[in-house]
Amino acid sequence: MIVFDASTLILLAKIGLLRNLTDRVEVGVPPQIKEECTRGESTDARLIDQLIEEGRIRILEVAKEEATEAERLKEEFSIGEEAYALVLARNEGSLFATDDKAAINACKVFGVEFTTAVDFLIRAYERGDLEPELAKEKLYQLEEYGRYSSSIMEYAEGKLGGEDDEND
Amino acid sequence: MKTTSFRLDEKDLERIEKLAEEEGEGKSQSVRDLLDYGWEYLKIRQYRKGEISLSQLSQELDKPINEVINLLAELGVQSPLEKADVMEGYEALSEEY
Repeated sequence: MIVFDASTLILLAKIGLLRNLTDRVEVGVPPQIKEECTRGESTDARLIDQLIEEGRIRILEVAKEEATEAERLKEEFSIGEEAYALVLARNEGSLFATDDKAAINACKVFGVEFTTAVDFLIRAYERGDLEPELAKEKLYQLEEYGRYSSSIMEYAEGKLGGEDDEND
Repeated sequence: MKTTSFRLDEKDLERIEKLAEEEGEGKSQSVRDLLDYGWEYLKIRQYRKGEISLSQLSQELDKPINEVINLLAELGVQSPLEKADVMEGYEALSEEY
Protein backbone atom coordinates (compact mmCIF):
# COMPACT_ATOMS: atom_id res chain seq x y z
CA MET A 1 0.00 0.00 0.00
CA ILE A 2 1.26 3.47 -0.89
CA VAL A 3 -0.47 6.40 0.81
CA PHE A 4 -0.86 9.43 -1.46
CA ASP A 5 -1.41 13.11 -0.90
CA ALA A 6 -3.23 15.30 -3.43
CA SER A 7 -0.14 16.68 -5.20
CA THR A 8 1.23 13.36 -6.50
CA LEU A 9 -2.21 11.92 -7.20
CA ILE A 10 -3.20 14.92 -9.32
CA LEU A 11 0.15 15.08 -11.16
CA LEU A 12 -0.11 11.39 -12.11
CA ALA A 13 -3.71 11.95 -13.21
CA LYS A 14 -2.64 14.89 -15.38
CA ILE A 15 -0.07 12.82 -17.29
CA GLY A 16 -2.41 9.84 -17.71
CA LEU A 17 -0.42 7.45 -15.53
CA LEU A 18 -2.76 7.07 -12.57
CA ARG A 19 -5.17 4.43 -13.88
CA ASN A 20 -2.28 2.29 -15.11
CA LEU A 21 -0.57 2.64 -11.74
CA THR A 22 -3.63 1.50 -9.79
CA ASP A 23 -3.41 -1.82 -11.69
CA ARG A 24 0.05 -2.37 -10.24
CA VAL A 25 0.14 -0.90 -6.75
CA GLU A 26 -2.36 -0.50 -3.95
CA VAL A 27 -3.21 3.19 -3.64
CA GLY A 28 -4.81 4.64 -0.51
CA VAL A 29 -5.83 8.13 0.62
CA PRO A 30 -7.50 9.50 3.74
CA PRO A 31 -10.94 11.14 3.24
CA GLN A 32 -9.37 14.61 3.62
CA ILE A 33 -7.18 14.00 0.55
CA LYS A 34 -10.12 12.61 -1.41
CA GLU A 35 -11.98 15.82 -0.64
CA GLU A 36 -9.09 17.95 -1.93
CA CYS A 37 -8.59 15.94 -5.12
CA THR A 38 -12.20 15.79 -6.18
CA ARG A 39 -13.03 19.47 -5.64
CA GLY A 40 -13.97 21.29 -8.85
CA GLU A 41 -15.07 20.13 -12.27
CA SER A 42 -11.73 19.22 -13.85
CA THR A 43 -11.08 15.99 -15.76
CA ASP A 44 -8.43 15.05 -13.18
CA ALA A 45 -10.93 15.40 -10.36
CA ARG A 46 -13.44 13.26 -12.26
CA LEU A 47 -10.81 10.60 -12.99
CA ILE A 48 -9.82 10.36 -9.33
CA ASP A 49 -13.47 10.20 -8.32
CA GLN A 50 -14.03 7.40 -10.85
CA LEU A 51 -11.01 5.41 -9.61
CA ILE A 52 -12.34 5.70 -6.07
CA GLU A 53 -15.74 4.50 -7.23
CA GLU A 54 -14.12 1.53 -8.97
CA GLY A 55 -12.28 0.67 -5.77
CA ARG A 56 -8.88 1.26 -7.39
CA ILE A 57 -8.11 3.99 -4.87
CA ARG A 58 -8.96 3.00 -1.31
CA ILE A 59 -10.27 5.50 1.18
CA LEU A 60 -8.45 4.90 4.46
CA GLU A 61 -10.10 5.52 7.77
CA VAL A 62 -8.51 8.02 10.10
CA ALA A 63 -8.87 7.16 13.80
CA LYS A 64 -9.62 9.94 16.28
CA GLU A 65 -6.10 9.86 17.72
CA GLU A 66 -4.65 10.01 14.21
CA ALA A 67 -6.76 13.05 13.41
CA THR A 68 -5.55 14.76 16.57
CA GLU A 69 -1.96 13.96 15.61
CA ALA A 70 -2.51 15.27 12.07
CA GLU A 71 -3.89 18.55 13.38
CA ARG A 72 -0.80 18.89 15.58
CA LEU A 73 1.52 18.26 12.60
CA LYS A 74 -0.33 20.87 10.56
CA GLU A 75 0.68 23.50 13.06
CA GLU A 76 4.18 22.22 13.61
CA PHE A 77 5.22 21.81 9.96
CA SER A 78 3.07 24.38 8.14
CA ILE A 79 1.34 21.69 6.14
CA GLY A 80 -2.35 21.22 5.33
CA GLU A 81 -4.31 18.03 4.69
CA GLU A 82 -1.05 16.29 3.72
CA ALA A 83 -0.69 15.77 7.47
CA TYR A 84 -3.46 13.14 7.45
CA ALA A 85 -1.76 11.10 4.73
CA LEU A 86 1.58 11.44 6.50
CA VAL A 87 0.19 10.18 9.82
CA LEU A 88 -1.46 7.19 8.11
CA ALA A 89 1.74 6.31 6.20
CA ARG A 90 3.76 6.54 9.41
CA ASN A 91 1.36 4.39 11.42
CA GLU A 92 0.97 1.76 8.67
CA GLY A 93 4.68 1.74 7.82
CA SER A 94 3.72 2.62 4.24
CA LEU A 95 5.48 4.63 1.59
CA PHE A 96 4.13 8.18 1.31
CA ALA A 97 3.72 9.65 -2.18
CA THR A 98 4.02 13.44 -2.12
CA ASP A 99 5.39 16.21 -4.33
CA ASP A 100 5.16 18.74 -1.55
CA LYS A 101 8.40 20.07 -0.10
CA ALA A 102 6.91 21.00 3.28
CA ALA A 103 5.43 17.48 3.62
CA ILE A 104 8.76 15.91 2.58
CA ASN A 105 10.52 17.93 5.28
CA ALA A 106 8.10 16.49 7.83
CA CYS A 107 8.74 12.96 6.45
CA LYS A 108 12.46 13.44 7.05
CA VAL A 109 11.87 14.37 10.68
CA PHE A 110 9.75 11.26 11.32
CA GLY A 111 11.75 8.88 9.15
CA VAL A 112 8.79 8.23 6.86
CA GLU A 113 9.84 6.99 3.41
CA PHE A 114 8.48 9.13 0.59
CA THR A 115 8.40 9.15 -3.18
CA THR A 116 7.34 11.60 -5.90
CA ALA A 117 5.43 11.65 -9.21
CA VAL A 118 8.59 11.70 -11.31
CA ASP A 119 9.81 8.57 -9.50
CA PHE A 120 6.62 6.72 -10.52
CA LEU A 121 7.22 7.73 -14.12
CA ILE A 122 10.84 6.52 -14.04
CA ARG A 123 9.86 3.20 -12.47
CA ALA A 124 6.99 2.71 -14.96
CA TYR A 125 9.56 3.12 -17.74
CA GLU A 126 12.11 0.81 -16.08
CA ARG A 127 9.50 -1.90 -15.53
CA GLY A 128 8.51 -1.73 -19.19
CA ASP A 129 5.04 -0.36 -18.46
CA LEU A 130 5.82 2.61 -20.72
CA GLU A 131 7.60 2.75 -24.07
CA PRO A 132 10.69 5.02 -24.07
CA GLU A 133 9.19 7.68 -26.35
CA LEU A 134 5.94 7.79 -24.40
CA ALA A 135 7.83 7.95 -21.10
CA LYS A 136 9.78 10.99 -22.35
CA GLU A 137 6.62 12.64 -23.59
CA LYS A 138 5.00 12.13 -20.19
CA LEU A 139 8.11 13.51 -18.48
CA TYR A 140 7.74 16.76 -20.42
CA GLN A 141 4.06 16.90 -19.49
CA LEU A 142 5.05 16.34 -15.89
CA GLU A 143 7.68 19.08 -16.13
CA GLU A 144 4.95 21.53 -17.10
CA TYR A 145 2.71 20.74 -14.12
CA GLY A 146 5.37 19.62 -11.64
CA ARG A 147 7.55 22.66 -12.45
CA TYR A 148 10.76 20.80 -11.68
CA SER A 149 14.21 22.33 -11.54
CA SER A 150 16.64 21.67 -14.39
CA SER A 151 18.68 19.34 -12.18
CA ILE A 152 15.61 17.15 -11.51
CA MET A 153 14.82 17.10 -15.23
CA GLU A 154 18.40 16.11 -16.12
CA TYR A 155 18.26 13.33 -13.55
CA ALA A 156 14.93 12.04 -14.88
CA GLU A 157 16.05 12.27 -18.51
CA GLY A 158 19.15 10.29 -17.59
CA LYS A 159 16.99 7.59 -16.01
CA LEU A 160 14.79 7.48 -19.11
CA GLY A 161 17.80 6.73 -21.26
CA GLY A 162 18.38 10.30 -22.39
CA GLU A 163 21.37 12.43 -21.56
CA ASP A 164 23.28 10.69 -18.79
CA ASP A 165 23.44 12.36 -15.44
CA GLU A 166 27.07 12.28 -14.43
CA ASN A 167 26.15 12.49 -10.76
CA ASP A 168 24.25 9.18 -10.84
CA MET B 1 -19.57 44.34 1.86
CA LYS B 2 -18.25 46.44 4.70
CA THR B 3 -16.91 49.95 4.52
CA THR B 4 -13.60 50.89 6.10
CA SER B 5 -10.90 53.53 5.70
CA PHE B 6 -7.13 53.44 5.23
CA ARG B 7 -4.39 56.02 4.93
CA LEU B 8 -2.68 55.74 1.54
CA ASP B 9 0.16 57.76 0.05
CA GLU B 10 -0.14 59.60 -3.25
CA LYS B 11 1.66 56.88 -5.21
CA ASP B 12 -0.79 54.20 -4.07
CA LEU B 13 -3.78 56.41 -4.90
CA GLU B 14 -2.36 57.06 -8.35
CA ARG B 15 -2.00 53.32 -8.92
CA ILE B 16 -5.58 52.66 -7.84
CA GLU B 17 -6.86 55.40 -10.15
CA LYS B 18 -4.71 54.13 -13.02
CA LEU B 19 -5.96 50.57 -12.64
CA ALA B 20 -9.58 51.75 -12.36
CA GLU B 21 -9.17 53.70 -15.61
CA GLU B 22 -7.41 50.84 -17.42
CA GLU B 23 -10.01 48.30 -16.38
CA GLY B 24 -12.99 50.65 -16.68
CA GLU B 25 -14.09 49.93 -13.12
CA GLY B 26 -14.61 51.83 -9.87
CA LYS B 27 -11.76 52.56 -7.46
CA SER B 28 -13.22 50.26 -4.80
CA GLN B 29 -13.13 47.37 -7.27
CA SER B 30 -9.53 48.23 -8.18
CA VAL B 31 -8.52 48.12 -4.52
CA ARG B 32 -10.20 44.72 -4.13
CA ASP B 33 -8.44 43.43 -7.27
CA LEU B 34 -5.06 44.64 -6.01
CA LEU B 35 -5.64 43.01 -2.63
CA ASP B 36 -6.47 39.72 -4.39
CA TYR B 37 -3.35 39.91 -6.59
CA GLY B 38 -1.18 40.85 -3.63
CA TRP B 39 -2.53 38.03 -1.46
CA GLU B 40 -2.00 35.52 -4.27
CA TYR B 41 1.55 36.73 -4.84
CA LEU B 42 2.40 36.64 -1.13
CA LYS B 43 1.09 33.10 -0.66
CA ILE B 44 2.74 31.78 -3.82
CA ARG B 45 6.06 33.21 -2.61
CA GLN B 46 5.62 31.42 0.72
CA TYR B 47 4.89 28.18 -1.14
CA ARG B 48 7.88 28.68 -3.43
CA LYS B 49 10.14 29.00 -0.39
CA GLY B 50 8.68 25.80 1.06
CA GLU B 51 7.11 27.73 3.95
CA ILE B 52 3.59 26.47 3.25
CA SER B 53 2.36 23.32 1.56
CA LEU B 54 0.32 22.99 -1.62
CA SER B 55 -2.72 22.11 0.46
CA GLN B 56 -2.30 25.28 2.51
CA LEU B 57 -1.79 27.34 -0.63
CA SER B 58 -5.01 25.90 -2.02
CA GLN B 59 -6.85 26.85 1.16
CA GLU B 60 -5.35 30.35 1.28
CA LEU B 61 -6.27 31.04 -2.35
CA ASP B 62 -9.66 29.36 -1.96
CA LYS B 63 -9.10 27.31 -5.12
CA PRO B 64 -9.05 23.53 -5.68
CA ILE B 65 -5.52 22.05 -5.66
CA ASN B 66 -5.91 21.09 -9.28
CA GLU B 67 -6.50 24.74 -10.21
CA VAL B 68 -3.59 25.85 -8.04
CA ILE B 69 -1.27 23.42 -9.86
CA ASN B 70 -2.46 24.88 -13.17
CA LEU B 71 -1.94 28.42 -11.86
CA LEU B 72 1.62 27.66 -10.68
CA ALA B 73 2.38 26.12 -14.08
CA GLU B 74 0.93 29.14 -15.88
CA LEU B 75 3.04 31.52 -13.79
CA GLY B 76 6.14 29.33 -14.18
CA VAL B 77 6.64 29.01 -10.43
CA GLN B 78 9.35 26.43 -9.88
CA SER B 79 8.66 23.64 -7.42
CA PRO B 80 10.69 23.77 -4.21
CA LEU B 81 11.36 20.04 -4.64
CA GLU B 82 15.08 19.20 -4.81
CA LYS B 83 16.93 16.62 -6.87
CA ALA B 84 17.99 14.84 -3.66
CA ASP B 85 14.30 14.43 -2.72
CA VAL B 86 13.55 12.81 -6.07
CA MET B 87 16.61 10.54 -5.79
CA GLU B 88 15.62 9.47 -2.29
CA GLY B 89 12.06 8.89 -3.51
CA TYR B 90 13.35 6.72 -6.33
CA GLU B 91 15.27 4.46 -3.95
CA ALA B 92 12.23 4.03 -1.70
CA LEU B 93 9.83 3.38 -4.58
CA SER B 94 12.15 0.84 -6.23
CA GLU B 95 11.53 -1.49 -3.31
CA GLU B 96 7.76 -1.46 -3.85
CA TYR B 97 7.18 -0.85 -7.55
